[in-house]
Amino acid sequence: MRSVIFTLAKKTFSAGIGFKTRISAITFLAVLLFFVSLLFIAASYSLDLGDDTESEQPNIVVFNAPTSFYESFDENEQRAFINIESSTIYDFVSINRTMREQNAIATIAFPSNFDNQLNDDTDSSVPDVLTYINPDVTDSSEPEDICEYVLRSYSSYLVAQKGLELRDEPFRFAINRTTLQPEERAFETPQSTAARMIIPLLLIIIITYAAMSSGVNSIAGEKEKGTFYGLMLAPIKHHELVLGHLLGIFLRTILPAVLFMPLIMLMRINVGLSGILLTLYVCVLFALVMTTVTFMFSVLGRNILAAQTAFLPVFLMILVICVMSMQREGTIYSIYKQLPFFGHYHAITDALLGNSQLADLLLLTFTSILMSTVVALITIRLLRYEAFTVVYDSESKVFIAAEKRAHKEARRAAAIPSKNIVFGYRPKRLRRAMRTISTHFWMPLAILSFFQTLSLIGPILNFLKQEDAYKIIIDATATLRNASADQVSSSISEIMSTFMSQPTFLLSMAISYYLMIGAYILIVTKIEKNKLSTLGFPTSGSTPSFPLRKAFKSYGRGLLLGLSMITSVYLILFASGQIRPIGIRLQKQEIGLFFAYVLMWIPQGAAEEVMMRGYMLPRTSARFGVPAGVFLSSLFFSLLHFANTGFSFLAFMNLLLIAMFFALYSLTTGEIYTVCAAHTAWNFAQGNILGMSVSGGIGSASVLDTQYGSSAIDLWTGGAFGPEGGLAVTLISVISILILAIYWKKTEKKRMIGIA
Amino acid sequence: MNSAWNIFRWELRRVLTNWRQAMTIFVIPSFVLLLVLYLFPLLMDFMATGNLGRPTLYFVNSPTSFSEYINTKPANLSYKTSDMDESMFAVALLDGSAKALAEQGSAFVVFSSFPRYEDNKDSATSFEGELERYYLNASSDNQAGSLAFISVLVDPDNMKSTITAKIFEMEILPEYKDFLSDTVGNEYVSAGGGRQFSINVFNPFSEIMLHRSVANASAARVLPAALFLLLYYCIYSIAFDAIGAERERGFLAKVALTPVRKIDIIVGKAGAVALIGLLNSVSIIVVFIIASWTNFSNNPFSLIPFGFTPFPLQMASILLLITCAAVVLSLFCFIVIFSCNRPQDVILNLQIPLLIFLVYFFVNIYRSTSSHPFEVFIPIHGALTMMREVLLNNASTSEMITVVASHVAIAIILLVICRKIFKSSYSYNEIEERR
Amino acid sequence: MIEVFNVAKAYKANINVVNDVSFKVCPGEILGLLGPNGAGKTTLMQMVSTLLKPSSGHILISGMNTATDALEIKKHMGFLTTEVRLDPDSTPNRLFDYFGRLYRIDKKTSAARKIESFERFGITPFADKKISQLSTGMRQKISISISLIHNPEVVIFDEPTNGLDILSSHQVQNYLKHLRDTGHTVLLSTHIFSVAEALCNRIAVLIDGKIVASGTTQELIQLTSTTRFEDAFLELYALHHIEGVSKKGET
Repeated sequence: MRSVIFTLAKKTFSAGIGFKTRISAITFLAVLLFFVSLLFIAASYSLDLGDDTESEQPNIVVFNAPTSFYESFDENEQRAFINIESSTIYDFVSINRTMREQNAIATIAFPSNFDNQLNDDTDSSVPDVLTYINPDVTDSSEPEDICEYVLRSYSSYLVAQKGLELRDEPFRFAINRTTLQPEERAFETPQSTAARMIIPLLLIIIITYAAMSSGVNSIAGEKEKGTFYGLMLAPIKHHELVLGHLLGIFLRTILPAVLFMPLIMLMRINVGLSGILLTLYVCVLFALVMTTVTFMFSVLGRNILAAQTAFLPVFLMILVICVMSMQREGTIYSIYKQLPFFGHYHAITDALLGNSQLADLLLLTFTSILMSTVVALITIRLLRYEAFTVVYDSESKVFIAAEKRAHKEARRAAAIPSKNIVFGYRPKRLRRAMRTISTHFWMPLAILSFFQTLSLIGPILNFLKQEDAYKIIIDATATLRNASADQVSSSISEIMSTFMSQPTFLLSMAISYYLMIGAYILIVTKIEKNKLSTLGFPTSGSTPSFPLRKAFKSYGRGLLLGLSMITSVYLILFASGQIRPIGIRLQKQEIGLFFAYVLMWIPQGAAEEVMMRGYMLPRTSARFGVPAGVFLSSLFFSLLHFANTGFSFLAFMNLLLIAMFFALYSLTTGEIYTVCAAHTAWNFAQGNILGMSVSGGIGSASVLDTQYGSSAIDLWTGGAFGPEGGLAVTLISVISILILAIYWKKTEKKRMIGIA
Repeated sequence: MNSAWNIFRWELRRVLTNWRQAMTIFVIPSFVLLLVLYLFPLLMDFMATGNLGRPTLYFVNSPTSFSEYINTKPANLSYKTSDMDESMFAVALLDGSAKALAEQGSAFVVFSSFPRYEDNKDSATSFEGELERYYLNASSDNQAGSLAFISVLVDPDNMKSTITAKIFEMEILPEYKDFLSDTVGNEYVSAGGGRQFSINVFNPFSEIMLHRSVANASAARVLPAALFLLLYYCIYSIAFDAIGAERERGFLAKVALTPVRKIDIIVGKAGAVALIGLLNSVSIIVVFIIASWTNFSNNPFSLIPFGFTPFPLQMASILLLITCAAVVLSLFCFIVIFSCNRPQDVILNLQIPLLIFLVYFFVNIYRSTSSHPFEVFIPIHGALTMMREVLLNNASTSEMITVVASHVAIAIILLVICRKIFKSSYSYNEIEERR
Repeated sequence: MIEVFNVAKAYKANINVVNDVSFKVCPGEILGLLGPNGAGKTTLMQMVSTLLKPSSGHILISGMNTATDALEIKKHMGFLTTEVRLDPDSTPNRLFDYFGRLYRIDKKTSAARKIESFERFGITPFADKKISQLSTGMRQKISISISLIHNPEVVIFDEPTNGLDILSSHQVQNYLKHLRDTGHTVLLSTHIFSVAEALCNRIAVLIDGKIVASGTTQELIQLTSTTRFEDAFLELYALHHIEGVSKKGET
């Protein structure tokens, strides 16, 4: 493999343009002309110095000059002006013509009755004077300054005529450049200018050009010559092909830079060997980046010209970056020293001036290598398509792409390892990663919001039948109008809690949860056409058989599990004095409500488990692996509670942990009956037996009346969110996960046999 | 001649009907140029300050008259304003936050006054008090002098901060002066002082000309070299396609075997290539003008500021110069292509001038001198320099004629050489030998 | 051994350039693909040589699938087509060494093969001349010698005698016979009847992307009840060609 790479590298290095390139006579002549013209440009500098002294006094044209202006002008100016009487002072075309004829640079145009207006004390309006500058004079400041100066001295002349004299301006003005910048600035020497402006620019242009001439032409040139076909027929792996070419191009690219290094020494820049070596190192990094980039364009192009054309924008971009880096003075944000292109320019400057920072250099190395690797990988990828586009490029492209995708999907689907299969779910085809994630994020959200809205309709209608309903609504909107987001959410939760104390609402909620479960069952059996067991509901018909009796047993065990977990949370809080039960709260008239709650919690727990553990877990696991599946389903579970009151980071973590526990538990049992029951038991016991709030929801009809102790800390109890927002739940869920892990380890052997 | 015309039309149609190639020639360079022109100031701004927001002018210890004046001013696109306490400013100076703000492009305007010797120390002079005293003195025929002082503190290393200070000096200060004489200087004005006339209340022409002269001077630095760079790029790619690629395909040999004079083939092809180059240049000039006139923010870092306006005569001279250059460049490309056989040689030989034009670009940006009298004789360089002079309004007719004449002469010489090489490479013997 | 199973290739959804083609070539056998221009010969050859993937069906070469084991197949297969051109600045000597290294052949073997191969085709006197200075026939012979550099079991030749004079053509034909006799599998595409008649054990006639008949020359003549092979082909063409079907993939 190595020999192939070196063979390709050698070929690319010596190929084509190389040292045997013929420079045609006329190109040589062009280069010669270029240097001649540079000489003349240099000569023009010396010429310019002598030129400056003999500039003649430019003329000024004045339209309708008043007598006072004559007097003022004689007093202040050494020259004369040309006066023209005209009433068309807004006609800039004729004014321009006059200016050209008189060889003037500026015109001041007074209105024809200016003197009258000035002397007429009854007229309070101020006459307007117009100024024009000659469009042929490029340095605008000159004519503009003359106009301003002349008019200002005329104005002060007029004021002085009235016996008022101003010795100076109302205030003085200065731009102070030193106070904010007390430290001395480094003196700019020719050497430092070279290090800052010339050498980095030259190096970057040289390297870019070298990379362009060898890199862009490599594969594109082979395509043009028709030799690429032969290369594709040889048994070479794509990455070998790319690496071999890259090596050759890289050597070709870095060679001129290496040859340039002695020239830096000749420029009498005091850098020393280490500076030169550092510069070379940066050049190597830059050459690496440019090599991969140009090679990518080479693979993209159909022939040399197309590849070169495509590369031009990159070349221009690099130039712009150079210009920007050249003009930058003062401190540079360190991020610019670490990014490719900018970083390379500044790193060369720093190396030459001896200011190199190790951290910047290391980060630059990292980003350069990262960029080249990514580009090289993309190129390898591109080459894969190239194999089949050598002959028929346009027609087969779409077809081949579709075919490849299908092929890849089929292969991947077949290759799902058995360890990724949860509840026997096996996907029929593999979706893209992002699509899978978004589907599993939006689907529960959509189903939840649809059915929950449905369940709200009944109670709302019921509510509207009340006599004072409209008054309540009007009051509520009035308060909402100038309420903050916090108040809005608290008032919503208040409304929810009034709803929660209505048995009808609870029952409609229960129905909606059943509908949700039904929807999921329909999705799995009718749309996916999978067995119910892939939703975590194995039946007596599935393999291994799971009779109804066993399901009931699991459900019972789940109830116990949930109950014991929440009870231990309660006990921890009670033992630490965070909460205290103050008696029985349940009243006789609430018994109906209590049972409504029971009926509601059963489908509620089941619905959430079906969504997250039953549906999402096996599907995400099949796509991303079991650990990711567990994490994703738990994450979404946690995120679904985002809108609840008192949601905090700790609550988020707790919900994540509990969800992970449930997910892991359902993995060990291979069904979700247990976790459905555990979920139900947890919520029911929490809200309706122990009297705590459930994930921000305020329950009523609770057996025990529990209140926070006087020394209660929200960090432990979770405050308004209920214990799920506190550390107690964290503790219990971590312990539960640990116990489960130990159990998992113990039964591993058994399960292996079971699977076999 | 008729056959030259036929070849000319054939080439033109070949390039213009191939949408991919037409795109490469016209749309992509224009697009890239536009992008560079728009992005460049933004990037520069970001590089210089680390943000893209407007810089803030901090008014330290501002007098009431100034606050009143600022309140009458509409909001500005290029800066924000903020008041600052003297003590706060002192703290900011000490803890370096003032420096940090200046590095983001802000500037501090400090209003103060020098102490008067005749005053006792208890009644310290203030900026406002000095102004009042000044106008009072002025109105009562005393010699008026003021010790009021405004100083702007900037970070001299930071271009944006310096520019912010300049904006204050140019835009705010003169207006504030007028505002002062209208308000604080009431007595002085009623005594007959103040403004007797206003200047340019309505004069859009001067306004435009001011912008134009700034923009044209900038364009003179940027446009000619950029234009020639893109022109050469365009010409070399089409010329390569028209001659090099056709030769590879064997089509050129076929054309050469028809009873058409070689010179007609060259003239026809060169004419087509030059015309397309000219069209390309025109499209780039249009883009340039659009970029200038849509540069509303007129960011100080802009390569081309607001208001670039070439007058018809200038435009005509520029087009004439481009035509001359395009013809010479296309003939140059042809000779290069004919004198090299392998495509990679051709590409390299054609790319060297591209590199030269690139260097020209930088040379032109930093060049500050007007042209040397002999420069007009150098082909291409003369045209480039001349275009610069045209944009700077320094061009004379005689120089223009010299440039055109030298280009025509060079074009004729190149045509003769081209014909000779073409003839020798496509005589029958040669074809046999190549086989 | 080349096995082609129900292979089809479509460039656009409804136009099949190659349509449901199946055949088999055994070691020690030459199969000739005979067809008019645009019949899909080149496409079929490219599919067999792993450069294109079939839209449906599959191709096995020495038991390996072209769609999945392209790299391994390339090591056992030599493919010659007019599409492959040689670097005009290189010399036969250098090209041979270059490809020898690309095919991972050790130096000794490579050198020995070079001598043998160059001698066989009479390249030796031109071994150090530039490709651009050589005649078309010589270039074709160099192409052949390079594509057989790794002594492949399976040889696929697309129009090998194109542009060759009678002498060179004869040389190449002899070499192909030699390959057949030494147990190589040869797939040959041609539109020259004499070559097909002289060389091929079996001939498959490809018209509009379909194999309409296959067998020895005699069998084909009998099938169409004609006397000459050329007439047999014309008969088949008249029978099976439908006007306006094959537009794409003209070679």
